[in-house]
Formats: sequence, structure tokens, C-alpha cells
Amino acid sequence: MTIRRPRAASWLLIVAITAIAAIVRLMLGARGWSWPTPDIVDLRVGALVSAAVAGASLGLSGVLLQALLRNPLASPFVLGLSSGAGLAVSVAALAASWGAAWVIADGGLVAATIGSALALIVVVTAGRRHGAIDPVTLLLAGVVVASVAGALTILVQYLMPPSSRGDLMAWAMGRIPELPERVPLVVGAVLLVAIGWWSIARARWLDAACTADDEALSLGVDLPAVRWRLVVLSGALAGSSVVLCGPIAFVGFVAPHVARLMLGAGHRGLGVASPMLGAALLIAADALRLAVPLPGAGKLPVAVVTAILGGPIFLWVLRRHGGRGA
Amino acid sequence: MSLVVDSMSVWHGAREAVRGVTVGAPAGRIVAVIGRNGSGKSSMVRAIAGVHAGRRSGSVVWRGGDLMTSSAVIRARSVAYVAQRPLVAADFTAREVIGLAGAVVVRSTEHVERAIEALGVRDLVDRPFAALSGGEQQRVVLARALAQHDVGGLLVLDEPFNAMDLAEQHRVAGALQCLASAGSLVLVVLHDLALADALAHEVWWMEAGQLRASGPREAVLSEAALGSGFGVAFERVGGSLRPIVAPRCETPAG
Repeated sequence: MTIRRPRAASWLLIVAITAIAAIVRLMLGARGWSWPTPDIVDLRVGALVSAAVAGASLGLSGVLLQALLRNPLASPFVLGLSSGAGLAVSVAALAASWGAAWVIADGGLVAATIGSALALIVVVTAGRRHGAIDPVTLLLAGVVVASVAGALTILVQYLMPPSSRGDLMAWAMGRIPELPERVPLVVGAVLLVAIGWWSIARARWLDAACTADDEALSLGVDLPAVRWRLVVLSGALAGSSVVLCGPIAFVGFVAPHVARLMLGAGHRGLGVASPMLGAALLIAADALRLAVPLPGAGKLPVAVVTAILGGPIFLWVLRRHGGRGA
Repeated sequence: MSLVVDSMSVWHGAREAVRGVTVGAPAGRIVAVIGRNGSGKSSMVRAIAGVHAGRRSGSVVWRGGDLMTSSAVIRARSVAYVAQRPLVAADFTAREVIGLAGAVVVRSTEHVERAIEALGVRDLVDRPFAALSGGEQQRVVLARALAQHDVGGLLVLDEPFNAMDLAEQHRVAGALQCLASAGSLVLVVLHDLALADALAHEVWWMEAGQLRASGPREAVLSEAALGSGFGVAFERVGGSLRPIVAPRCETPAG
């Protein structure tokens, strides 16, 4: 079997998918299909940009995590990063409601980054056996961290003043804001561009990191330094997406896999294609929930849609790889 | 001596796997590192290549520079290494795996093409690495090391002939001899003593973490010494060394 990937056609398809998802989302509103008239166009563009930044951040975070852990199942949601970030932002919001408003002056970005990076460190530490990362133990550690962080987030919600509780609960279920706050959106976009640039510039390092530790070292990659950077950068991306849209499941897992199927495993292509597909996926999920309201329940939270779409794909990859190297 | 190893010790946790080894070799040679399982061969060559992550002491000087204190990038310019069990945790093609030689150190397309020719892997390059046989994977990873390697440099190979059939072994051994003739130093861990005898100019013999013997192949690989060191009798037939393999049941089952 030989592999010859039609790269130009794949890139065209990725651009087309992203563009179609964006156009469809612009044509959909709370009342279904309609032309974006001047009085509502800002809301639709706001939702589109929010979903694009959060989805692209998740797509890039997934690529970095999968390179860091040499594991195709790694993603911000599966490893508990999103839940860790969600808990940290909830705690910061609670502290703000008790008078420490400075904690959340940046929209919760620092708290989210710290929360997701801490979650990753706990998961990686607990996921090691005999000095090496064990994929199954790692996944179980991610499930435990996500569960505990999720439960603590609910506890924090109960401790919140009733006036703020509704907003926090809606955010914790995952929602795309139509009027996003400026600071998290701008900082999230800047982070995305900066980390995306780093990922492309250092794509060959990430390629080499897919070999055994001793081989990567012999190829000239300073693995310990690269790994710390990956922990911080993937944590920052996951954190910024959580601040913007709440915890969103499986986008950071599905986007790198689709990109890999279309372009191969090289990180130069993945560093661009995975964020684009992550953005397209989250925009499309948001459009889908608007186009297909659930009878009697109205519009679903977007995280429910991504979970319904991403869960079966996760199980397929788990079955194909058995949790081991891609 | 181009390579000088001085008082090198290597630890795995609390266990001292290599104990104060001092040895050296000139460029333009193939050095076979032999010894029984657990004797410290792999630990020693990994430390020489600078890829042992744990505690170590002593010095490894290659052409005047200390490899133990060099950065990974500088080391990668002069030393190429192939692990005992290569791992590639991504859906790369064989060509993409060979291309990793230029991940950090700049390597031209000509470097890569030369390595592909030398190891005879042209017909494998468009296939997924994961779909290759063990011997084919080993040849591809060796091609990556050759693409990274500059003639006159140091090439460290940990049991590279594992999983290779005789034809593959013959081809790879020939490629290593070409490199040594051109001025490279090839350090190769081998279990097959007949192959070590046929391939190497010099032999380092490790035993219990220490150097039992080192020197020219003819001096180290004597039938008497090998018989006492490995617990198997050896003979020379037409100048070639071979073990006398005559397995028999000494502890009846049941």
C-alpha cells in the first residue's frame, strides 16, 4: 500500500468546508433561516467570530496535546483540561462575587490557563506507569479529573449569588456568545495566532517528538523544554476557548483527526488545517443547533451537539488504535 | 583517538549500569559492542550518544568536544543514533520518517536521497511506516540516521540488525563498511558474535557494567575467551567465527 495524498485538493476542501460553515451560520438566527439584516448582522457575526476563535483554539490545542503525549486520543476535553479551566473560571467568578473583582478583570483568561495547565499536569503525573505514560491510565486519569472538576464546578455554582448563577450555569453547559466580551475574544485571537505561528515554525520539532524520547533527543530536539512549552501553550488555548464559550466536547479531538486523514501526519499542515477544521466544526455545530431545534426543549447547548457528533468518532478511533500511537 | 570515553558511569535509578568505563577508538573504524544481556552495552552507547536521560558521570569527547555537556542541537550535528526498538507514533510514510533527519539539523534533499539509496529503501518510501515489516522499519530508521550523519561523524547503533533477514543484514553491513572507509566511526551493539567478527575492526566487550576487554577484533574474539564469557563453545571454520550450537534438555519437564 502506498500513500499519495492530493494536498492541493485537500486544502481546497478544507477552505470550502470552513467557508460553507461560516455562510450557513450567517444565514441562521434564533428563528431559523433568514437573511442577516443590518439590525441582527452584528449578533450573527459575533457568534461566528466567537465560534471560530474557540473552535480553532480547541483544534490547535488538540494537535499540540496529541504531539505532547504521542497519543491520538488526547484532547482538551478528554484529558480534563476544559473541566479544569471551567472550574478555575467558576472559582474566579465566585471570588469576584465576594469582592475580589480583580481576579476576573481579564475575563478569567489567567485563571482558565492555570486551571487547564494544572489539570494537564495532574493527568500526566497520574497517567505514568514505570516512568512512562500509559495511554489507558492517562485516559482514566483524564476521566477522573474531568469528573471531579465538573462536580466542584457545580458546587461553586451553588455557592454563587442567585443573580449570577444562571449566567454561570449557561456558560458551563457550553454556549456561543452573540455579543462576546471584547477582552477574552481579542486575547483569545492573539493567543491563537501567536501559538499557531509557533506551531508552524516548530512543526519539525513536533514531528520529531512523535519518535521515542531517545530518538527525538538524538535528532536534536530538546524534549523537556519542548514538552513544557506544549503544556503551557495547549493549556492557554484550552483556557481561552473555555472562557469564551465554556467547556466544549470533542472539537479538539475530531479536528486533528480529520486534518490528519486529509493531509497526513506532518505538523506543518496540521498546525493550519486543524484550527481551520476546529473552527468549521464549532460553527457548524452552532448552526445545526439553530437549524434543528429540539421539540419542546428549544435550542440545545452547542456542547451537547459536539458531544453527540464527536462521541462516536472517539469510540471509532479508540477501537482502531487501542489507545496507542497514531 | 577521535572518541575518548573517560571514567563513564551510568545509573538507572539507584542501579549503576555502567561503572567507570574508560575506552577510545579512532575514526574510520567499526567498533562492535558485545556482552551478555544486562551487561551495560545499551546503557553505555546511549550515554555516548547523549540520549540517556538519567544520571551519568565522566566524559565523552568526540573530536575535541564533550558530548555529555553539549546541547541537543550541537550533538545532533556530529552524532546520529538508532534505538534498539524504534518508535514512530504517527501515520508517517517511510520517506517522512527518513526526512526527520532534518527536523532540527539542516539536511539537504541530497542527504536524504543518498541515504535512501545506501540502504536500498527506494521501494518503501511511499508506504506507511507502520505497515512495514520489522526489518524494513529498521532499515528505514537506519536510513534516517544516515541522512542525519555527516561523513566523518559518529554513528551509534543499538542492535540494528534485529528483525532483518540475511539479505538485509548483508546490505546494511556493506553500507556501514562504506561509512567507516570514508572516515566515520560506527559504534554498533551486536548480539551476533559471528556478525561482529565479520563486520568490526575493534570490539568492546562489556560484562557486569564494566569493560572486560577492548581492542582489535582478532585479539578480543578468541574462542577460549568467548567460551568462558558466554558459556557457549566457539570454533573458527575457514577463518569465520561461529558458536557450536547443540541444545539439549538438561532439566526434564515434569
